[in-house]
Amino acid sequence: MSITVKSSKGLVFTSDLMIAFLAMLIMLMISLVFASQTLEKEKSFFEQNQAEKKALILLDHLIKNSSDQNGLAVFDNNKNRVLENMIEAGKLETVNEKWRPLGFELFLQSFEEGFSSISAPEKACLVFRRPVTVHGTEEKMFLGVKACEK
Amino acid sequence: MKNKGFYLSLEALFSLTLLILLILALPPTKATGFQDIYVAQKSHDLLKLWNHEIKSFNAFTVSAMLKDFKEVFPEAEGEIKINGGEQSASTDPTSTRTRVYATKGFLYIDGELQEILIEIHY
Repeated sequence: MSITVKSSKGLVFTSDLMIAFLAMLIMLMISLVFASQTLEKEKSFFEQNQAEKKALILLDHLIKNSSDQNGLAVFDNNKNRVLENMIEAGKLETVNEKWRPLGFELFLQSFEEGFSSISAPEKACLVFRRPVTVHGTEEKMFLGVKACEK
Repeated sequence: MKNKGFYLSLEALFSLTLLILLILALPPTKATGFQDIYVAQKSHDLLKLWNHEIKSFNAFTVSAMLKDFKEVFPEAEGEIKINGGEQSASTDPTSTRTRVYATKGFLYIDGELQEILIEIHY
């Protein structure tokens, strides 16, 4: 009497399959680590990009709009228009108070001072400055915006 | 009986997952900055500044313009040309920097409209 097995179902587990499985798991882990680092870098790039954009837009706004719109440009009543790149230095602190709560610090700097005069920020800060003429004294100065991480 | 169909094996599933994760793990693209627009804004500001100085003080020298240029662009080299080079000044004539920005404008100098070209080399 003999017993014949016609078919059998099951899973054959070989050692080479085990090694391949382990290799794939390691690759999976490395890929996940890389992917999370990439996401972090992308997030950081995006945030810096947004901060730069806001600071530049603000600086442009200050130079091209008068104080009734929280800018610093002089309004010429005779010509009935704003004089771009000519600013009222006396209104700097008043306008600064409007923008300071949003994380921006405005400053005026003479042409000869250079960047070294700005005190070293404690956190990462962006600084942009553009040349302007001060109304009254007709002095050339830099109007700057400093935006620091909260 | 032969059945037509699509068989998805376990190792194929692993390979697909791995491929997707490898694509996700590619190096991030560096965010484009705003240097281009910032440089353009500062060079236009210089033109306005000089226009005002000429109107107010009738004072104009190419060397003074170059001095202002160095203050506004301390990290760059540059050249200022008037009327295509009739008068010009440069911070470093031997500069080999490859990234160049240029701004062109017009100023009233000595009662004549003159073309000013500002080149900024990074």
